[in-house]
Amino acid sequence: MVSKPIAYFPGCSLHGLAKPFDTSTRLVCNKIGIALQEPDDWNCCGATSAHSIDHTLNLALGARNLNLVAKSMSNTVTAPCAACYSNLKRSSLELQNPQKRKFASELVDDDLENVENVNVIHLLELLSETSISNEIKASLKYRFSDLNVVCYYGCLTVRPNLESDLESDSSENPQSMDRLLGALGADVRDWSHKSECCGGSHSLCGPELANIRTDEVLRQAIASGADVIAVACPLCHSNLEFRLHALQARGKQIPVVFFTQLIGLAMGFATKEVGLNKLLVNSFPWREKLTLA
Amino acid sequence: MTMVITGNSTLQAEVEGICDVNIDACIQCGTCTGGCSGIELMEYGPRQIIQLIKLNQRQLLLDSKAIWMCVSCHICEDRCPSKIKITSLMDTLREMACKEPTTKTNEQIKFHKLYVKQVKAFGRSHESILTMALTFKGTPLPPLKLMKDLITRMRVDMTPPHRPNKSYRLSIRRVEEKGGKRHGK
Repeated sequence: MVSKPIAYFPGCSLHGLAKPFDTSTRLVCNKIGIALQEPDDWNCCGATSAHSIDHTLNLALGARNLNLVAKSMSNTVTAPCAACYSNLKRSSLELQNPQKRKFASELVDDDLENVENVNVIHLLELLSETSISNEIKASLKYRFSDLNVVCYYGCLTVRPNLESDLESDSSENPQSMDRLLGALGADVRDWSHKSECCGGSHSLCGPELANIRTDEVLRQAIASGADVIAVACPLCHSNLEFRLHALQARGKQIPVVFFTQLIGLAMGFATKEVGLNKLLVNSFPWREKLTLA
Repeated sequence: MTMVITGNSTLQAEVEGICDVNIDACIQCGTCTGGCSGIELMEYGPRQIIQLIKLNQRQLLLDSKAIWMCVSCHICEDRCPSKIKITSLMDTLREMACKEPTTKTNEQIKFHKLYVKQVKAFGRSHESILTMALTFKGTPLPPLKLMKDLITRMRVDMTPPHRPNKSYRLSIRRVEEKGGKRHGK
């Protein structure tokens, strides 16, 4: 068992539309002994609106969240939401600057001790750590067979990407989700749009642009022969799901699932437990795709 | 606009004073524009935006549609051979536009302002309340069939909004008092 506490930042979406991402993440982590600790009274990470129009607010929101982590039992925080991950990481980079830290500490009225040492990682990075991914492999009850998956990372699970961060995944051709799902027996397809943007930040305020982006991602995913699109971001998830829903009458329907739901299924959790019944495209022969490991 | 121009741009000094970018590092290669996720609906791509900053075209840029079609995907910044923080630059231009009394509102400004208002009040965003607030401001409701399918699948957040603690509310008050002041790059 891994059994190290780690701060968990679910973000606003995982309390709403992306609840199945939260549920399946907790199930998977619990199964392999990762103690996720959600800080009390965390606030919005600032994406996308705060950083777009009010930088001072964004700095305060980020500093406050990172400070909650700095004061917790773990100095690493993991976020399943790509927008939260990316913006928390941006805030943490900004707070390396002593001048910024001083200004932020005035805003949140705290000395922000150790806030610069908080390590922000996406959930994919956490689950890809060698000891943890081995633990996942050891706890599999089933393997997938004849399941064609494309891993859709979206733009922000892998950005900002720092050259100094040798451990991080490639932003142009990421592999972490491919490896995790490949280990479940899934036939992971190589494709062109792994880390392209879905336009999610504009799904409510610029649907014309969001539709251009989602149509391209869906077209490429389907052309690659995928039965399922696995995602690691709640914004990609709702944006792709809503577009498929709008195209229901004329396009191919393909389930868009959170990668943790697939890991949970292979660990032996029921489709309902991992929330696959809650997806908009929820009729898929999951049972037929699973064989005992 | 194909030549690299260097000269006195007060706009360049203004943006460089707000965010950590070095506009002169741009080699006008266009890699940013080539990968841009909003380009189809922009009248100027990121390469041209940098050139317009050098040309001191403040009004043109702050009134542009382009700054609002940026989706903050970081792809431009990630690929920039000169490591210019284009995402931060776009944030800066949007914030500057918001502060200009002459800026006409649009769907993106309306959305961001509502979102920020909600985050200030609740500490977090609440999808259902945000959708209702947007509808109240004239944005069409999501399709009825979609709403019905989301409700029957228990995907819609029916819980009351988060109530942030006192320290959060005080932080927001200080943000409102100190916002807009310069605080180093």
